[in-house]
Amino acid sequence: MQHLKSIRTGAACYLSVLPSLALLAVFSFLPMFMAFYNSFFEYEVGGARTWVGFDNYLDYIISDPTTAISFLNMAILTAITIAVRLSVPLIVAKLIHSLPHERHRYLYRLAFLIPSVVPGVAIQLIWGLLILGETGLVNSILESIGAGEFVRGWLSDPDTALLALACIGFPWITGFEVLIFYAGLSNIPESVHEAAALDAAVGVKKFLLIDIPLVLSQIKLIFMLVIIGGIQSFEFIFILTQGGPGFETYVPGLWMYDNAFSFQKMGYASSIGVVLFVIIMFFTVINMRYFRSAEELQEAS
Amino acid sequence: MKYVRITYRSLLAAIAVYLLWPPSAQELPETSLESVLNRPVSDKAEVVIEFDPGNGYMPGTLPPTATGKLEGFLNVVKAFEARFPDTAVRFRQSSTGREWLVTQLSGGTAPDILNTNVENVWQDVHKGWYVPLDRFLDAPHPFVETEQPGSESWWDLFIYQAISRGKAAPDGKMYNLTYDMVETGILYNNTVLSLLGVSFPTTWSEMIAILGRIQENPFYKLAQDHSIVFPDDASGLADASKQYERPSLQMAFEQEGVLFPRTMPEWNTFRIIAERQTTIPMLTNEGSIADWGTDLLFDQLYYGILPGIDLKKDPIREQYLQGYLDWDEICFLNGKGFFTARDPRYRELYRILKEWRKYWNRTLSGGDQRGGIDLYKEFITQRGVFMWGTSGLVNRLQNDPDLAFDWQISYLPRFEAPEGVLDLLVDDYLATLPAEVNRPPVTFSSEMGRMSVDDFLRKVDQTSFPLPISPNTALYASGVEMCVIGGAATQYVVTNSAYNDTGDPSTSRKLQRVIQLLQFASLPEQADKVVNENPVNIPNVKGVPLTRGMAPFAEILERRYTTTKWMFTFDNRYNQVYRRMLLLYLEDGITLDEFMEWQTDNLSAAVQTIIRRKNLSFEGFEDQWMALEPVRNDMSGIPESE
Repeated sequence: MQHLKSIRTGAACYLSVLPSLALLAVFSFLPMFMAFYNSFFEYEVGGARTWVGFDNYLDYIISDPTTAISFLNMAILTAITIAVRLSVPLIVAKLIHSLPHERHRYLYRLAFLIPSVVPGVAIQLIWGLLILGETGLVNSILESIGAGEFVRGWLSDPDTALLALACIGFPWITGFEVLIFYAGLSNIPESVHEAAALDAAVGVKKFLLIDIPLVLSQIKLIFMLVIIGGIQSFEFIFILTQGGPGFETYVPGLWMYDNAFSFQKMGYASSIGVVLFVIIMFFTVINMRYFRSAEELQEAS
Repeated sequence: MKYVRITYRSLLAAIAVYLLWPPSAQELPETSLESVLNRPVSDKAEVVIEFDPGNGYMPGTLPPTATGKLEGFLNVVKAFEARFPDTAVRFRQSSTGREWLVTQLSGGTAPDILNTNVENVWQDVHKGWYVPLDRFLDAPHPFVETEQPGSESWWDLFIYQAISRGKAAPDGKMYNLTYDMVETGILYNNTVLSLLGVSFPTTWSEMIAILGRIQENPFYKLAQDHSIVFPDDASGLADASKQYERPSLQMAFEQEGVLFPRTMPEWNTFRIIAERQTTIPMLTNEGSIADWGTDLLFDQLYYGILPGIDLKKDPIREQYLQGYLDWDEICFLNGKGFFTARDPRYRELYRILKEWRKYWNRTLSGGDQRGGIDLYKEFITQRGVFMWGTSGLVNRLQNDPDLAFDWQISYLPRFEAPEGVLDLLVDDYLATLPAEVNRPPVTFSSEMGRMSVDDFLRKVDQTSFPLPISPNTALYASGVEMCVIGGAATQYVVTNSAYNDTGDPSTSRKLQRVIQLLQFASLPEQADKVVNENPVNIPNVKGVPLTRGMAPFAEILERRYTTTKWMFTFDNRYNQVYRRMLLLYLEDGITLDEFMEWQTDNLSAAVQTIIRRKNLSFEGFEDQWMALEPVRNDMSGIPESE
């Protein structure tokens, strides 16, 4: 009775949420379920649909020659991205946070945030101009300093392509992460800093033992976002190398895109999407369950 | 004062708005792209046709090869509308991406006529997205007078029958109308060749020898060792020529086989090349090699065995295509071991490509935007001497006032067929090899040594026991001249939108008009307006004159048509995997054995897909295969059955 009453009281709220929920269902949940459903068929746009059971999954996981190399590339790129996007912005945020004047802190935060308004595609294309081909800026510099033997198509040479992709965005200081970590550092109570000072925990020691544990919530968030981005995203690879040379920089997301839109193998592409979904879910669950923030640890104890 | 300031600012704002306000379509010249795309539709129009003529011929655009904005098709359309006042034609500019095409066609919203290549069309013909044109092509052209080409059959209006008819889909129907032709050729710096004292090669080995000399760059060596003084202009020619009186210089030139420059263009070329230590003998890219290179070498190696493997004799197309291998034949032959690691010709093809690769530019991927080099720029700045290009470049070269060297057009030379090498015993063959040929660190058994070279290549695993072969020789060469692999440039298709008035092609009045527009545009006087306005392609319509510079390509097009074009149009996924792995192989990312493994798997998967998707039938192939066995028994390089 009490339950019904509370529903009636909140009717307006429920009704207000309903349109958003309906749109979410149509544009997010339905495609997701359609992908699951389609993954059991062989079908292409405009063509017949044939039930194939788990064949698409088996083909992708067992027979497809791109699977192993693309997952390896994805793992390498994601691991490098995690390393740099958790470390460099955190260090920068700490440095900014340590500045004595608020006005200076504000200016530095602003300076790091401003590049975020530049579209990612534009930044990647600029990077492309720097390192693509035989006439990119990096190669021109190498030639001008007499290091011509190192000149190469950094993104087209099989030996350097993946590493060159990982270097895109150097020095990897993105405004978003800096702000998140800065917010985390700002939330550390002053009493903690004072206690640390009394215990002679200063400088690097304080950063490692006090600051990092207390911004674990932020680290957890960034970690998950990087994992999800690393598994899903392929745009910058598509723009810069299209996964080449060969499959040296290919990732599963790109194979999904190619199968869906270039080869029209929609069923097969759906199965790749489902596999990626499962992997993301796996990491999310692991992260939620086993990776505890400082607050959660405190609560647990 | 306040009001003055407000008035002043308002005035400035009004001027800015006026200046930035976009002009309406009516104010724009008729030949602007916006006007073309927004042509008003007459009230009398009962049929509205949507037409995308393709980027090369879109009125209102200014391609880099044209001297003014294009208006050819606009004039054709106007003439058509004058003839059929109940019809209006709207131009549409489409994306060239396959993704766009598929969504438009599946939604029935594609332009009624558009330009797209067969590789896009063939994938989807079983979905009913395209209208077969055979019944119209076989019928008399309605606008051609009696006794004129086309009066009996529209087909007869076209010049290049083999190439045009070769665009038939695997289901045997014709969906693409070949409006004009593009042909590949070797554009070369003849001034460099003259200085080297050679003319364009007639055989593959001659070509490799010339490419090798260019790569060694004797000009650089001569300039470095002998402090040659270059004339700045024609007035300095006499003094520059006097240098040759030095005996040491004469001897050096003779030793290098280089002729002393006499004219200013020769001196300029000499200086430009001598200033750089490296010169690119041949400019090309991955796309050209994966497409043209593979097909040409394929033809060189397989042409000789066509009588033993050409299983299908199409009564109509055979007279034009002469042994062309269709998809279904390729699929069947693949099941017999062809185009696998067991097929010695197939392995030879990719070995030769890799050997040839030594003379190409370092970066092969993409165009200049994706990290490749701009081949055209490298050619006109004389950094590259040979360039594998197309007829599309000629107009640019001819209109370039600063081009200071003699450039010519030719075609790749043929491989010489080796005499009796395949019949030699392996031991005897090894004894004939020059010392510089790399020999693998394996020992052949005495049994292997007693096999013929052909048997060895067919029966012994070449991964474990690779037979050393002199570079740039093709043991299985047919010895024929290089064939044509270029061909259809603008390929018009009629889409399912063309009969959306009734939903039935047989009763659609709109479809009738759409076909009439294509027929009208293929009249010589109309095609001339279009094809020769921006001469990058060769006319395919009889009676349309050839423009300046296209004659060499028209001559090349007279050659025999290729054995097959399947490498590039087989299956999109196959094509992508193939191109990627070929590039990786050519960039030393994988070995020949690894590439062969990838390629064998890739083709096998594509064959299975094609059989399933297209419901290919091999009916009668096995009988024909058996019937041709005596013919094949006299042939070399036939793969062993599993």
